Formats: sequence, C-alpha cells, structure tokens
Amino acid sequence: MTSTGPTQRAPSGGAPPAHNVQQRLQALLQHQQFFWWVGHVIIVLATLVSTVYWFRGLFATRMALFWYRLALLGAIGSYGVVVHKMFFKVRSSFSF
Amino acid sequence: MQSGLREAQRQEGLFYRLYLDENAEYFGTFPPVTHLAPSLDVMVLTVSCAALAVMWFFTTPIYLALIPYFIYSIFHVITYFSEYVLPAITARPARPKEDKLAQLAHKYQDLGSQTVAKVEVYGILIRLIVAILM
Repeated sequence: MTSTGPTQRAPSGGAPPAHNVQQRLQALLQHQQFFWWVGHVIIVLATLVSTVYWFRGLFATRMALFWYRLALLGAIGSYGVVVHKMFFKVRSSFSF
Repeated sequence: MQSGLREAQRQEGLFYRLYLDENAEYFGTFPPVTHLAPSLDVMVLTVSCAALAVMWFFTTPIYLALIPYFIYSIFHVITYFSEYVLPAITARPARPKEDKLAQLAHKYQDLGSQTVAKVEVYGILIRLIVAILM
C-alpha cells in the first residue's frame, strides 16, 4: 500500500490548466463528485421549502409532498453516488 | 523501521479519521484516494443512509426525516462550494484556511453531527414510536 499522504492532494477541479470559466466549469462538471454536490444542494433547497410548508401547517398538501420527495430524491442521488463509488470501480478517462 | 511503521500507521489513522467524518472527507480529496478502501464504518453508514433515503421516499412522509440529511448537506454544500466551485468560477486556487465560510463549516461540524444524533434519537425515534402506538 503506497501512502501518498494528504500533501499530494491535487488542487480542485478548477485549478488545472483550464483558461476560461467555461473550460473550468466543464472540468468540474465532468467529475462524478459534482453530481454528489448537486444532490446535496437539492436536499438543502427542498428541505427549506418543505420547512416553510410544515410551519404553515400545510405539510399534507400535494406541493409539500412534492418538495419532501424531491429532497429525498436528492439524498438518494448523492448517497447513491458514494455507494456506487465504493462498490464499483469506475473506469473513465479521467486520471484518478 | 519502527518509526516508519508508526508513521504509516499515523497516516492511515488520519485517513480513517477523515473517512469517518460522514463520508464528506471521502470525497474531499481530488482526485479521490482510491488506493485506500474506506473503512467498514463509513461503508455501513453510507449504505444505510442511502437505504433509509429510499425507504423514506416510499413510505408515509415524516418531516423530521429530512433534518439529518439537511444538516449534513449544509456542511457538504459549503465545503465543496468553497473548495471546488468557487475556484472554478474565480480562477483563484482554493484557500480553505482563509475562507470564512469554510472555517465556520469546519468549526461547527461536530455540533452538526451531535445535533443529527439527537434529532434521530429524540425526534425521529420517538415520533415513530408514537405513530406505532397511536
């Protein structure tokens, strides 16, 4: 087991030699981790919306349930990415 | 020899501690550290979180079920944003030590985990027991 330590940790998706914003964002988007992040953003936003419904006593309405389920869908997505990464070797052109 | 072994153990311990931080740090390295398998705890935690999300999705909605996911997500969103998304937009390298938001997230991470534990035990568990008994 070669231990590369935390010092070898490369900087983030943006730092490599991309020149403009579009290229950097594309480099970010191509990584699986970005979808993990999007899932968490969905969780935060949908939970905030359904919190509003809950405090107004409207949690049983259809829209409230939609936001509740959307938050859980984000959770399924982001944790699913982690599970996928743990149990399946991802073969891709990106070097990691 | 001995000290090299100890150093290796220390580094491994560091990795496992990072992993144990509710899989946030598992993704926190770019590129992800693939030569070290995540520990069993993290695997169990992640798989159970995913399975619970599927379960909550298909069963009767309980608002409290969102809170643990929400609290963990806040930290993940802030950390990843300040380390990856913001540098990609502004073309400046990430400086986690100077970013105030990332520092706040780091400072309150333990509190967040404890809050999640309390919500799960005193909130969701009691809510479910009441729902069963009623």
